[in-house]
Amino acid sequence: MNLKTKIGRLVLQNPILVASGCFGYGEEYAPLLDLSRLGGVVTKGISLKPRPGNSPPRLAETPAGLLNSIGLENVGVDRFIEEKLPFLRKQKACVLVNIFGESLGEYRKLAEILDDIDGIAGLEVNISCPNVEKGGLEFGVKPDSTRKVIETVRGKTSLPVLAKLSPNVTDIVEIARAAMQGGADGLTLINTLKGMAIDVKTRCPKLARGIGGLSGPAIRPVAVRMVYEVSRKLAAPVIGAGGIDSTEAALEFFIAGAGAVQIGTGFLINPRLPLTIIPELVGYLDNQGLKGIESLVGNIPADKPKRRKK
Amino acid sequence: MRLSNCPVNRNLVIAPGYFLMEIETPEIAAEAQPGQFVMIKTREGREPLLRRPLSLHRVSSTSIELLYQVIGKGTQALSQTRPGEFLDLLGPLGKPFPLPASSSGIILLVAGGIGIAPLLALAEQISERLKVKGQRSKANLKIHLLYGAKTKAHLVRISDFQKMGIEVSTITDDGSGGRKGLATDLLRKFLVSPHGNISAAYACGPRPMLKTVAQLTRNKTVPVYLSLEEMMACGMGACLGCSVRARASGIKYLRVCQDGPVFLAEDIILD
Repeated sequence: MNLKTKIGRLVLQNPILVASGCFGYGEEYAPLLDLSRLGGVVTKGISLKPRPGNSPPRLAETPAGLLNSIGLENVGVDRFIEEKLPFLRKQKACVLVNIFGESLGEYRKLAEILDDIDGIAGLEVNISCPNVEKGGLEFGVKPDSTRKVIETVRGKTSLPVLAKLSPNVTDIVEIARAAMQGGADGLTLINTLKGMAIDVKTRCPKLARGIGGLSGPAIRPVAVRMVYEVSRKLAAPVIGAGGIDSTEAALEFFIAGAGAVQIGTGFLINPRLPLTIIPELVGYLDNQGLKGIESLVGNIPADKPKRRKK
Repeated sequence: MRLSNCPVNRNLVIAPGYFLMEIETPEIAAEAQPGQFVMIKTREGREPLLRRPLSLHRVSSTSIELLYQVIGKGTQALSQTRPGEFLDLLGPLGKPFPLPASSSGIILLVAGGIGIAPLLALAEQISERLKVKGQRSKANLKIHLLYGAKTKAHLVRISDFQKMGIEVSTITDDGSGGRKGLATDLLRKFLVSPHGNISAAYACGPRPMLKTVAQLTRNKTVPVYLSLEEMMACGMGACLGCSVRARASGIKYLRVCQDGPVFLAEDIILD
């Protein structure tokens, strides 16, 4: 079975990746799974300088969901290259580096620095983090600034560039179009939805920062819809993400139009999930009489429900 | 560290809202050390979504024991697990309690409520080590447990500590078992009475208790270890969700799951 998939110029041996922020830099998970068998891993968001992250509490569990406000705590690009990347290289992981800047200049610098480094398959540009004061979501909610960030990164790297977009927008297609016009090879859909949870005993927010980003199965229908709309209206290569916790959930994304998927919250709960999905995906493709993953992508027979044969 | 599906041997109520669970898990038990924890999927499916971190209450050769209080959805689900059912475990995780360097003096254990859980495993390990070293007869190392709970009924496992020759002082919120007050009241009193030298202290309990323990022992030169409880998503140091403020300059936060859950009191700032 051919599981090879392409997201623009990015070629992946299979379509199952681990999402940014859920994988750290891989050291923790290497004892539990062979990282080289994954389609790819997306690193924790990396910034130019180290960031301490937000005050705790940073997590709250919600119905079928997880609300987080980590605030892009990371070691910074220099330490990432010196201390973290060599390990991932040694594990033969396909590494996508998620980059985050507070200004266009920071995105430019990050792209420049990482362009020269061995062992990086592509960049995922984070313009969609809801948990920081400056940058992040600020760029990703407007078409103009979305295009500018992607153009800036594109201009400084020869690596494939993915734009990770926010669902916290009125029209995802408009933002997706801007990212593609800026020169993205593909799009990661979606980052977390802005959310809030309140402790009724104290009548205070559960997160120190009040508002956070919601992930997990609770957001999956929103993510599937956005993947569907974007791939239908733009024919842009898409990596789907949002609440994948089973093979069936991953299949929804492929059928909606995603060429690959990322597992985030589902991976935190079950680190073996990606490697469970791969053989089950093969079984499904066999059953459906399909020769490979690429023939499943966007393969919706009708845009309305159809009765099952039995 | 392992990820495995393990059968539950026992799951008993031992005090109001307190359960003692034994899980058969030779692989995790073989690696497990007091102070560490396991992440448990308390029920299949999406409610609750995340695993729950629970510290090791006791470690034997093929099984582990967990002592937990039913607080929310996760522990509620766990309390309904029947013997013979399987639970998905990830562990052992985190850093264990460092053992006392000195083989003389007093080792203080301070427990508040369900915070007694990891201290039994620790006490058993220290006692075992002394037996092996043959130092017990010399009796130059004494363990003293200062234990506070809501009511007398919530003071659990006392005889297990006493069996090892550990002196136990109790106190309760309502005065039903020992004096009325908090574990930290026992500590305050202990520190001003003549008992000999304290060589190390270990505490586990609610955050305000740990804060007071840190304050009361600030001028002591002995190591004071605090075992922290925190909400976690991965339990493995990847998601950075369970941070605690660090005292050292240069780092702002430490991860409770990976850098802890046991910390030297002087290394962290409890808000």
